[in-house]
Amino acid sequence: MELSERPIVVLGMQRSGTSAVSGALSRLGIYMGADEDFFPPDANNAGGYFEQRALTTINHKCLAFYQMHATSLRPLPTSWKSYPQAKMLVEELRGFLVEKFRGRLLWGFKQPMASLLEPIYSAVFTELGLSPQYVVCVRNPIEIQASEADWKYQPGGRQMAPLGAHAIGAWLRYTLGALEAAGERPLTIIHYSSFLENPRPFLFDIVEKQGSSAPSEQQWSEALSCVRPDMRRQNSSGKSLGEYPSIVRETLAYCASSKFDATRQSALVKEFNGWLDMLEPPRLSGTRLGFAWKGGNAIQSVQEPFLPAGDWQTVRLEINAEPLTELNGLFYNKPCRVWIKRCVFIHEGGETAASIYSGPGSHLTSFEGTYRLEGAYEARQISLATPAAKGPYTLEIEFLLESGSQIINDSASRIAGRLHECAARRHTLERRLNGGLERPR
Amino acid sequence: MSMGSHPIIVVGMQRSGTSALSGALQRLGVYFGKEEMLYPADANNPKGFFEHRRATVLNLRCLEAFQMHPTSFSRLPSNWREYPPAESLRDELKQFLRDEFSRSSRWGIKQPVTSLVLPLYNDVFAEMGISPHFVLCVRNPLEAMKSESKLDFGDSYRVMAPLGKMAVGSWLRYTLGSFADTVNHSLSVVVYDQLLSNPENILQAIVQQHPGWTPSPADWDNAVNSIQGGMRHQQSSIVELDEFPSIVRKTYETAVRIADGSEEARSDALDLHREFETWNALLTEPVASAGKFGLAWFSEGKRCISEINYIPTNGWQTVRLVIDAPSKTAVSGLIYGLPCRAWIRRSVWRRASGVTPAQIRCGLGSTLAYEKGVYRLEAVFEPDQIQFVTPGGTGPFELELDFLLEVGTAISAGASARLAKQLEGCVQSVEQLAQRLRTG
Repeated sequence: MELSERPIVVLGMQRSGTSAVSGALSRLGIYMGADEDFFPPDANNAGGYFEQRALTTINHKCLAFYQMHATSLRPLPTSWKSYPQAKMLVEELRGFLVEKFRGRLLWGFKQPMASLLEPIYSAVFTELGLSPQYVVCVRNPIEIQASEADWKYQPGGRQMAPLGAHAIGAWLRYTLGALEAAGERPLTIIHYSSFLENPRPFLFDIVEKQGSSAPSEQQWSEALSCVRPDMRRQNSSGKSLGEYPSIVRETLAYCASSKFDATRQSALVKEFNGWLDMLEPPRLSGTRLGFAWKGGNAIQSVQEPFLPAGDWQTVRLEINAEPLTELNGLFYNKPCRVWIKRCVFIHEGGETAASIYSGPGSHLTSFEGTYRLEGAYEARQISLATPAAKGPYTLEIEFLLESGSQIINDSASRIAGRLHECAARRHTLERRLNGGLERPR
Repeated sequence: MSMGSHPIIVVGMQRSGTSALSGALQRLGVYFGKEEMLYPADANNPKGFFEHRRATVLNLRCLEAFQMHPTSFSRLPSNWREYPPAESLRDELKQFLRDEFSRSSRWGIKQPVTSLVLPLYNDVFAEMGISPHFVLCVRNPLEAMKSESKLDFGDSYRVMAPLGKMAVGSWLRYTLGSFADTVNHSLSVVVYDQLLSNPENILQAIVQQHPGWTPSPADWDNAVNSIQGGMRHQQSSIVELDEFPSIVRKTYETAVRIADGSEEARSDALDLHREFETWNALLTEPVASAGKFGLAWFSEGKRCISEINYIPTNGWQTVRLVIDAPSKTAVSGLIYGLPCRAWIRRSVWRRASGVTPAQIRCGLGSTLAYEKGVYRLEAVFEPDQIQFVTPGGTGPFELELDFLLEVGTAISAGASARLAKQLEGCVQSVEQLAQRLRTG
């Protein structure tokens, strides 16, 4: 048996009871993973997380590849599948599920961040022929906000500033994202406070939808006893959601009703997405792809304006240079990541693939036949050489350009590191020069 | 003739009729600045912009100083006056007003971005005894969006991608922000449709608020005629706004009610502004995560570390770090783990015998400037981002820093570009040194 076709997928925002629900499901005989694969219990979750570390790592990787993070509100790009890393991410997720759950009749996983990555999970479920059943955990966002602000970090570990109002926005994203992920598939919405008061009907609903053999009395007893009202350490009583837009209250009320209503749900999603569209961060500005080269005694240059498309696009430049001439240029006037899947010189004799080099502050790698240029804003961000065949040439470059705060911050750190290395090298050379030490090879 | 104390300040989103209105007002006698200082007419605005270059430069500088840009949804920080650039921005605005309008009894400024920096203008107006008459231009945002997407960049390339639906969010920011920041002032709302269909009424309503302003019949003809005729290239209905969240249509309808004289509508506009700000807070991702201020030093051959966690507050804050190092020891470390701008107005060593100023130095990739008693550290993530030397005398010492920390994409991009340039220079000098060594 490869994979049993109906896993239970537990979604919802962190601190919404996903661990409590997963713990109970585990006691009801649903295999959520091996104990040693889970994050261990800690001060924030004494009963355990039931969350597989490797899956969390995959999710973080998915988010990072698309310039997102755990509190991102934007969805994956609609063109996510055409990004070079998409195939690898899908394969990694598929491999994980097969490796960890192969042969398990009843299985599931809990992963809050999967609420943000529905397209990738859906693609994998389809490839594996799975028909998942969803459990979406929902808690009053005021309590989540308080719980998140009260998070106990490991001494010396990385800390996050409390999310404040953004926690409410993230709650909408997680909750509506999870509901969208479930779509019209079997779904149980778990309202946190009701679940802690009386978990049986919620768990019963999940078991019933699973359609497998009933858990034993012993299993029920263990599952029910692990859920206690005193697990709720934050209480929203006395705090009002009135200061937030009505969608927050409406979403909570919709979830509390625990009844799927396509019209009501899509109205909430439309309202939220409408705001996201309106308050979108600025798109990448237009720029020119340009190259310069030495032609005789003068510097020649050519450039072509383009607007970054957020997808693959092709730019062509006419290069009237001598054969084997070095061209130096700039893709974008900010730190950027450029995936280049085609870079050719078209000339009378045919087509010649161009070898690409990057400048000292940039970084070039190759990934499954595609160049990945982590470009710094520098004069020689990208360098090419015209082919040996006679010109003129049309340089055709097909690329996907990304930029964003993470790419820009990483760029600054990378160049700072290289600057220190370079300065150390300069210092060594100066000492050798001044002190007559051994010459470099 | 001295500076008039009731200027007309035209605000509202770009492509909302601010130029058309200002052109008409100029024809009625409002001075918007010397002709050569106004942006010239072009394909996007054949009748001219009436927009003063210095106002544009100042507004953009103000935005940049607070990590904003013309399509930012955020507001100036509530404590904007505490930021070191605030004083020079205020001085610059005062100087601009004195230079350009001190001899004009009836003057005005049209600069759409002013809508985003009104707290600065209000502050300066109050100090100079000026009570402005704000005129807010409002157009159906779908028309503004379409008009923006069709801007003609001439021979230049399109620098900005078309804003798309974000133009509607930006329209909300310009419009609702203008309502909120003109609460205690005289405000006229000019709806683009009404301006085009009945310019005389709209202009009269503005003129009537200024006693003694009596344009000649010829000026009236000139002003009214400047607006009529073929200025409208985009047309959208109110119903089309329903594809957006309901606040969009409500805002437009509220603006029309204010234009029609409803006092109640001004209060409704403030409610809508609150709703917008709440959404903005919900959807704006926090820029700064928690920081760690940490310093390291060597003592008796061992590496010692002292560090403290803090949460950046977007205001001045004080951290203290105990450094149990011998006197005259070099200590270095990080004030923040990402590229940042740190303004430091106090840096002192405290010890039993008193307080000594702590001189600051920065790492190779960072830059440090000192102006008007405040350090400005443009820092990158490097091990010796910030450096000190313990004072003479006996420790232990407590290092106290009072600072204001800013982070953001513009700061990071600036740091990255600066580093790339430094690196290029370093690589060149390494090549030259290596060449000299090779050739003896």
